[in-house]
Amino acid sequence: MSSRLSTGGKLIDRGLLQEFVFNGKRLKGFKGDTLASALLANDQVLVGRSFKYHRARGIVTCGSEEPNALMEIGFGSKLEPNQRATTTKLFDGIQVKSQNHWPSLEFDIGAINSRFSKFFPAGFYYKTFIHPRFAWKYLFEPIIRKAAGLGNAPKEKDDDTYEYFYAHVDLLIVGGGVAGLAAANSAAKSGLRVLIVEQNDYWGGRALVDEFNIESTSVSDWISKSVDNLSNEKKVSLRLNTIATGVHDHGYVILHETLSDGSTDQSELRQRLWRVRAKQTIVATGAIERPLSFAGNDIPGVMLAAAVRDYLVNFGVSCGDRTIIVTNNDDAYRTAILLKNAGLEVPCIIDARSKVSGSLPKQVEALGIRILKSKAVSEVIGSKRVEGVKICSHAGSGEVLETIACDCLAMSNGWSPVVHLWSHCGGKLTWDDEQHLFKPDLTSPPLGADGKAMVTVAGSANGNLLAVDVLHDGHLKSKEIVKSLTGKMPNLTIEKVNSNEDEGEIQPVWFMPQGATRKLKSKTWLDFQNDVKVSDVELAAQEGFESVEHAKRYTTLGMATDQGKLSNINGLAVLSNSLNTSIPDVGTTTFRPPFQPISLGSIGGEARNELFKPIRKTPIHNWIDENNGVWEPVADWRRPFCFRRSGESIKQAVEREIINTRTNCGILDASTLGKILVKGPDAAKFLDMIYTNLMSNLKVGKCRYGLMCSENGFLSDDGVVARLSDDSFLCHTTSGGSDRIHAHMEEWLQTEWWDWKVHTLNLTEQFSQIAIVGPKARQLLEKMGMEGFDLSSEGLPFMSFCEGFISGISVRIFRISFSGELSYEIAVPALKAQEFWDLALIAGKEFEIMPYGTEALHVMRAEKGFIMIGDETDGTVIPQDLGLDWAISKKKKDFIGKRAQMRSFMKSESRWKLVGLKTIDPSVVLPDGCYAVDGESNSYGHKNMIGRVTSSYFSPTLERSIALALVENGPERMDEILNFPNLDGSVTKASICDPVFFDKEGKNQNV
Amino acid sequence: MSDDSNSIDTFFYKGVITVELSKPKGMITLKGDLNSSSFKAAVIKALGVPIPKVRTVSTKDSVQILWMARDELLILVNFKEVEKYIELLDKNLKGEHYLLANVSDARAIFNLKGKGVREVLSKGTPVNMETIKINDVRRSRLGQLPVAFWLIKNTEVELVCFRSVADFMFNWLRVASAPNSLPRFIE
Repeated sequence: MSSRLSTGGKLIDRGLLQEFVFNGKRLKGFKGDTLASALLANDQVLVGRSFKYHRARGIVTCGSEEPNALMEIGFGSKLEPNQRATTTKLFDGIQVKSQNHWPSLEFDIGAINSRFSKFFPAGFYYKTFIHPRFAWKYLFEPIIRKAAGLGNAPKEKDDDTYEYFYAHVDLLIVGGGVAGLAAANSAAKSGLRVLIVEQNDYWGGRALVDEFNIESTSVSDWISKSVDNLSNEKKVSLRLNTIATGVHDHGYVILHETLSDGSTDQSELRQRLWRVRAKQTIVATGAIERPLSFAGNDIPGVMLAAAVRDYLVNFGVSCGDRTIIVTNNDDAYRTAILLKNAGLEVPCIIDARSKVSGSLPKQVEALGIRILKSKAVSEVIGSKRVEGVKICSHAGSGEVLETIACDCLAMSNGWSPVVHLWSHCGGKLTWDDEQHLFKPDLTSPPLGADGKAMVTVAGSANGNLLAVDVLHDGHLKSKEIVKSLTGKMPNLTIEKVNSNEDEGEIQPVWFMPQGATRKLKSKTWLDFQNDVKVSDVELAAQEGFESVEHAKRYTTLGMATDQGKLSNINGLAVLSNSLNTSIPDVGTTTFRPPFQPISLGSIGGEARNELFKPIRKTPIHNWIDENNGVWEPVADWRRPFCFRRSGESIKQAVEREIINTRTNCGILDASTLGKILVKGPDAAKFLDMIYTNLMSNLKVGKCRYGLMCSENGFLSDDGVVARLSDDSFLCHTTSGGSDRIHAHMEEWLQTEWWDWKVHTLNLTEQFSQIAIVGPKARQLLEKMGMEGFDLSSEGLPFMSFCEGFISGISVRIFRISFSGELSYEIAVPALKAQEFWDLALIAGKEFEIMPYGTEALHVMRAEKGFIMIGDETDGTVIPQDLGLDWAISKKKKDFIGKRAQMRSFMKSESRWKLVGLKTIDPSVVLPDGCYAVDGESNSYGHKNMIGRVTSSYFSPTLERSIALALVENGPERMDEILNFPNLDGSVTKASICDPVFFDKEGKNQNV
Repeated sequence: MSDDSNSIDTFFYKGVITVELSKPKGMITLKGDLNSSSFKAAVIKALGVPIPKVRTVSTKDSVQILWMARDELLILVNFKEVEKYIELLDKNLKGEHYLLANVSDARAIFNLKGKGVREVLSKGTPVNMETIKINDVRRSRLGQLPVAFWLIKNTEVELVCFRSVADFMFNWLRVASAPNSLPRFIE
């Protein structure tokens, strides 16, 4: 059984007992434990179920590469699924559940899948669920979705908070082991801004376990001394609990810092996402031990050899009373020595090599441990727990020579450098034939904007697996970077590791035994989480998935949440063996960020709750909110759809607002309207290009409605232009268009007409625009007390403006109308807008003034047949489609969109054009966006569509429904009746009419 | 145009830094050729302050000029003196190609004070807040909002954003300066 030893454990504090709950069981651990070490201390070896076959799964590793021990932590608003037990710190009261099983971890019905594994080979999804076609949607997919998936998604809102932090450094060092700290030491006095980050909550990495001396001090002392010295350096920052998840172009590195463990009930700052700009990055991320591939290597109790000694040294935890070690290299012998010295049983070491020399095996022999050379594991005995090992010759096909009982099997297949961060931005890899690993190809590093290397790699991550080389590499790489950034080589002597250990050569073993039968191979796991076996990869190769990227997707190898950190190299070695090519010829799959899964919370950062998305508010916003405005989003603004009185429906409110505006007086907050000032000697010439109509002949004091098109001729925005002076114009845009149109103008000015003398400025927020609309509008303004202008129809005719004061407030009054009524749009300085609004309401009482919202605005403009950008346009509509030919200048040589509008398709007779529609039953309102059909079908059996409703309302003014639509040859089909099929199969009939439904002569607005 | 009345709500928060919405200030946008000697001379004559160097602010008494772009300045004056300075500028810039506009109502200014001010801003702006100097101006973003800001002191920043998002900006600053939330990266 696995248990806590009475002594030892560098990272735990035996004085601080911590209770936790695992699947309802109360268990005990110590402060400093990870969840994994605490579970092992309680003999909880079975920790989860695999994805496909629901096989029993145990802890394999002691770090972020763990494929199996994924837990659901906490509950309610603190619930986090898929957390790695090996990297999650234990805290008092933590509630933990294992995942992916039903009804329980010990008895999982899904495990029956394993019995039928013959029917679930690689690619079985693609082969099995094809026929009958309908079954995918209704049968297969729902069942697969139910069976698949790991943890449960949280149902409650996350209580905690997250944030970003932008940092700029000269040198970022990723990894706080010996190589990283050596690199930091070398750069500490250089004057460079240095940040060193470590994913664990302690410095030193695995050096704490595999102790050695640096010069004459122990590595532990060297680590603490280094950290102390670095902490005192002003320009060096150190962060623990911080993992680098991605390296991007321009030295942009994303770090993920864990700030709290979720142990409190309160909301707390949980994680911080660092967005670092680093001139240079040193990747010192170490290496990951590889599992060996043999039958039954997925049974709980089979662990990585280094992990076994990590638990022993760091946590005082024994992973088993009798541990057999199976290896192809010398490093695993360290595990045997430590276990034996801790008083535990090591029945034997199974070594695939025939020649075992080196100092470590000698020590092992001296301890009296059997070394079985040229041997392999034929099969592991056990199902939920290792019970023993069947041993065979590595050279054979698996004939059992001997069976030895054990409760832990520690395996080592050598190490793979953690090259992910090196590779994210294009760093290439090279195959090391001696050590049998992929390591960074230093001649082909990730390049920065200057074409030079922006990432360097040091230590084990660089393929230097011996401490002596790790330390040297860390110093050396850092010194080179310091020299390249400062021009000066740091004057530091490179320390030396004091060691006379020599390690024998590793022998490549991609599955054991060498001639394993197919039966054994189909019990030999490559990817523990996704259930990919040696036989699956071989099948993929056999079926022609020869590219590693194809084989990966076909088998799902390395596609689990651990992204194949353990399975990748073994898998492609098996693939290369099946294809009879070399491993470097097969190559690796692409390494992509994130290096390790990070929470969505941290990616969202602070942008949640009231900070989710900025909402723009006009100066009248609060008044509207307090006066029953029914909000709707309009671009980033909020505008009132209507003002709903008590007892009123929204429809009734809209109708009341329209009737009142048409008979008395309405007031509208039109502040969101875009207002762009265009000024300069070439301003008129510029606007002639921007608008389709002529603006240069507009007189000062006058307004003109204009259209803007994109280069492709499509209608992009519209609005009224007012000429303020000879060389300055105020261009009104739609509410949603102000920023876009301003950018459009600037782009043309900066890239095409850079020599034109024009300046533009977006003044949208400087002025509130308040519309006073209706037959009594003039009386109201006159009553408010005017100064400096005359509102009579001669003094301020339609489509003109003037400046002056109303009630002492400086105003610019535009006599323009979007409703067809007598209408004044009054531009007021924003800080004065509420005051003006209040005064207008007081003065307007006797004229029965009422505020109205966007829906009333929309209905009234539709009654007049005025188009709305976004309703009548959708990016494929040209002004000519909308009958706006009158606004397209024939005199101008050019304007943006003119050339495109000459294209044959744009001039086609059969384009859909704007018409009005009246339903035969006047009470029926056509659904917005519905289509007219001609009764015929095309070759696919689709009904032929001949038109589309773009706006549709009930008009209280006309007491009937009205609609605007784009219809093929529409204007030539007046009075024709069209059919609009509804979703329920019924058909609404409507006749084509003129798009202007109300007051075509404009009597109302020209009074 | 408008007077000194504070139509924007009052916002004040004290966390790791003090966040306060400033009283309305007179703001004028001036666009023109900042390299032209006649333009430079006209500005100095009208305001008594020289055009600042790229990405900095120049100040004299109650008048400040902020460099906003290679052809754009933001001039800060007392709220009540906007019209006066617009007239002065108009007069002196006669014959130049320029654009002048009162933008006092379009923007809100926040004053941020405290040792952590550089770190609070680093939570939302990609600007290097560690190396930015007094009188440096940056036109950047903070969270999801476009902003401009400049250092008055090592521990004090003025920040300008659009008026329509002033309350969103305040909430952002309040969240970013929550107690015990500084990473202590910039000492």
